[in-house]
Amino acid sequence: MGTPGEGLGRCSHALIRGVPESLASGESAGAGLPALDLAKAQREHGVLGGKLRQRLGLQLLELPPEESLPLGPLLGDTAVIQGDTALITRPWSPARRPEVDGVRKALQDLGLRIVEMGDENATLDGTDVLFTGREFFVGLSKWTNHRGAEIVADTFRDFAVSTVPVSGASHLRGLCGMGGPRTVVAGSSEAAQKAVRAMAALTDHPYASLTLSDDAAADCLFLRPGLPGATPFLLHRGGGDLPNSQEGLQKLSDVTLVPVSCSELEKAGAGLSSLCLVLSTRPHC
Amino acid sequence: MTTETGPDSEVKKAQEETPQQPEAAAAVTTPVTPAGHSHPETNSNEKHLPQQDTRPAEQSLDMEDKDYCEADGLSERTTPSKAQKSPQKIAKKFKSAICRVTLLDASEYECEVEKHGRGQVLFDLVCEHLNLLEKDYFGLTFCDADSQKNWLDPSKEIKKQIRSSPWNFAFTVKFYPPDPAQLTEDITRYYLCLQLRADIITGRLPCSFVTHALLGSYAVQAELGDYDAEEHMGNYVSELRFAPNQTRELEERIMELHKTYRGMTPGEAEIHFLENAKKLSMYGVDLHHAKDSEGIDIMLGVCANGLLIYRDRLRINRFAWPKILKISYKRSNFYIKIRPGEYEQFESTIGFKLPNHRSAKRLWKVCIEHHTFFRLVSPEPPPKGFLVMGSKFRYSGRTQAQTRQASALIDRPAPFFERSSSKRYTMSRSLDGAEFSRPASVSENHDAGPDGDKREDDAESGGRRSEAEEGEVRTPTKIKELKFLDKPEDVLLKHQASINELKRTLKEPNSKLIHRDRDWERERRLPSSPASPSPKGTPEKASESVKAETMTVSSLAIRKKIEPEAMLQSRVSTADSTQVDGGAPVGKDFMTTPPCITTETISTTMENSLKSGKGAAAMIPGPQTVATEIRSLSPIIGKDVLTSTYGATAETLSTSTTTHVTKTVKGGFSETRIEKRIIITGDEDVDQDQALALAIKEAKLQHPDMLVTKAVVYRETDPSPEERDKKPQES
Repeated sequence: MGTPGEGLGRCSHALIRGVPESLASGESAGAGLPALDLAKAQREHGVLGGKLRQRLGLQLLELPPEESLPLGPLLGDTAVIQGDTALITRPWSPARRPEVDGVRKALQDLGLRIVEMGDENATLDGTDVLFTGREFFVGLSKWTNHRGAEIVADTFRDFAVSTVPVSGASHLRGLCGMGGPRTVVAGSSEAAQKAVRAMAALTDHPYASLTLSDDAAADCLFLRPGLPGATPFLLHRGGGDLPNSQEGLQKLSDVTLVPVSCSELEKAGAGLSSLCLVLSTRPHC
Repeated sequence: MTTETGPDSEVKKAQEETPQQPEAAAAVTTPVTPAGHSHPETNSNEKHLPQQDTRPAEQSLDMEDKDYCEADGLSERTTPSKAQKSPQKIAKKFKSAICRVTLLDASEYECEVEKHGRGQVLFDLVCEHLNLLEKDYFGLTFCDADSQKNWLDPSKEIKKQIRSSPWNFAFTVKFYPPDPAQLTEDITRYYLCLQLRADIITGRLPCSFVTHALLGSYAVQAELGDYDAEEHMGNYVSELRFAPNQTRELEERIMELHKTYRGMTPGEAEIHFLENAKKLSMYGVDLHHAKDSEGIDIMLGVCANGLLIYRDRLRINRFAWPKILKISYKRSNFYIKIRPGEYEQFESTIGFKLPNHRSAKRLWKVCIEHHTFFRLVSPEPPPKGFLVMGSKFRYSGRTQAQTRQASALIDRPAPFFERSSSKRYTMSRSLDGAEFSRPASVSENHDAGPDGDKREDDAESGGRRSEAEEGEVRTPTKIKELKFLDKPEDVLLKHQASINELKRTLKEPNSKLIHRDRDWERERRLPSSPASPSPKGTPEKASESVKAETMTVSSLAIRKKIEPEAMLQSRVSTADSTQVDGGAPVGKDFMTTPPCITTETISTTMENSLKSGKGAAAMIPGPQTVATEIRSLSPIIGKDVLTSTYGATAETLSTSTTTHVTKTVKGGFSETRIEKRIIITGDEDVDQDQALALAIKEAKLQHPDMLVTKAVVYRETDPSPEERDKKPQES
């Protein structure tokens, strides 16, 4: 089975969803969204897709944009995927709940085992879940409650699932991410550091921790699309978007840094973890 | 490391617990007879004194421990008016009882043990039947009147624990090894697999479908061997159990995988099984229902790393053993005191509500046992928090040279055994010549002759007292430790001895688990992690160590002794704060503990003190008490930081305080000076000189280069101690 955690980031496919005009208009669901430059947002989205497909070599599935779902591109919130199982979430915002349907179908078609939340009292946004390769952390944030976290635990029984209180307006993944199988990357804000400390206390495993200047830079994607042994990739925003964090990211070893930008989409609340879902259809132990 | 001693408890216990009698006498005395029926010759001495003294203390105990066998045992013996059961016939010597033990393969094993035998006797019989040498990880359970599973304490009488329940036991894994591949024998792994398979089926160990299939496939390979198209037709696994909800899909997946394992031996299959099982988050977690301070239902999970708090299936909190300073229970509440976090100033105490007093005590005991055991066998716990990137420290997992060495010392040909989880388990001893020779050695190891028994008894109970109240925790290895003293000549035991010696160098906490019997609290103070000794702790430490000393010597002499003792302690304490090397150790060679000062006080007052009949030296002033104090120092210089502790368990009354003063010297070497302070107390009947000589001899046995530097003799009636200075220490 290999070293625990080495399975982190294994992927063969990536799923994204196009940017609808309704996202840019600013009156969309989730009130208070600023007006976006639609063209720029779409360009960013296109570049992201390109990197996933060409640079990383993943099979890219792009769901069409839906005007009734302005936050549709943030499909990272609609599912939690690990191994052969996809847990379809129940987003906190009722207006976002229909977003899960298209995603569910796509994942089903790819052969993943689908698990539903099944509880009206549970709320769960996918970007509140951090998988380290060895365990799960679920942020109890504005969007995810205890019951939602519990269903994650119930779904992924091999792994320890711990809850992390998240203060402020962030999802857990907006504060931290994985920079390697044993490396947690986190922002330098108080909320981010607090979350990291909580995770450190809860875990049984030793991780190295890297602090970046910007919280948003910690929302990076550690991906291993190739064969085991090939150098993994880290999709990150430390290039043009968040130059202050570039230096910190350079400290990561054994990983190819791939910068990607989404500052326009960020205005709608997006981060790298919300803009795509990655999964592997290859069987692994 | 901060340690505290529980002087009050030791004394009280000696008073309260009418001592567990040596095996011979046990057969004679019945537990439930009014004083009049008992044998005046054998019992009066024991009962006479304790009766007066224990009653008040005992009543306080009783208030808390009404259900407890120990208290009941006491009350039955010393408060004759309480006899409720009908008087039993006077037991003949060696009257035996039948025990039924359910083994891991669900078969039943029946055997006879002497009616007043201790748990260890039964356990040894079962292990022998199972041909199991690595017994430390296992134990026996029984169901009590509330249908709750309880561990059978090997050091106590079975009868007293099981009370009115039937003598039915289950052989179970008690401590799940974090790294099963490191177990020495296949047969041990086999039993561990059986246990885990049962855990999976009962839902105690949840897994995903994929994991059920994987583990199931290895189990099939181990049990049925290679896939053979002729033998294995259709659904050949349907009769085996792999999961709580077994689906056809699961069985098919298992068979699919099984086909790919051609050539895998059963031993290999079991290793694969364990390698996968050990990663599961609930592996080795012992769950207890409780409520938190807000009344929310939670589960407390005790495991190798520490204490976990679950709400539903979610882990909401975790306290690694090094973070826990003290574990205690009071009535049905369970408390843990935890070290202040990085950004906090004060320790905090967290309380939980258990269903009842028994559960609280059970949880407490399980915590102590896990803490002790896993400090012994597991590697250095992961560093606190996340490592900051750029730190040179490398977490090296299994570099426990000692455990590997210890395992390597188990030297016998792999025993043949049949694997069958569904059939009756038969062990044939005639199959392998090696097995014939084993029984002899096994019995030497574990069933010492009457001589050893007695001493073991004394040492046991003494050691027990040093560890706390009646809820003492003993791992089986302790008994072996004591045997080491008894028979150093025996070659076979030397093996065992070396194993234990090595284990002991890792084993600090056992001696540090000190009880403070204040108010009705049962507590245990855990050693603080060496990485962060709190300055606050040191004055506390000093005063408590002082108390330890005072209790074993009569009152007058105490005062004179306090000063030098306090001075010693405070010297050590200040050294503590200045000498601790806070730097992160570098490199692979880093040993388990950074430089630190460890002070451990073990008081082992022996049963004999009571039996002598003239008043235990510790308790009753009056008759002359002679105390001899020896201070011997021996520096040890070496790369390794030795923090072994050892209580002198001479036949007489002796208390030994071992102080390890460790300094890090430049060049990465550390120097440990070990000071052992031995106090012999006893009245005129005790040959002080002989006891002293024996104690010195034992100390030298452990540290050959130790020299006596100072001997102080004083008497209770004589206020001024005479001092005799001996040779200076080696440098």
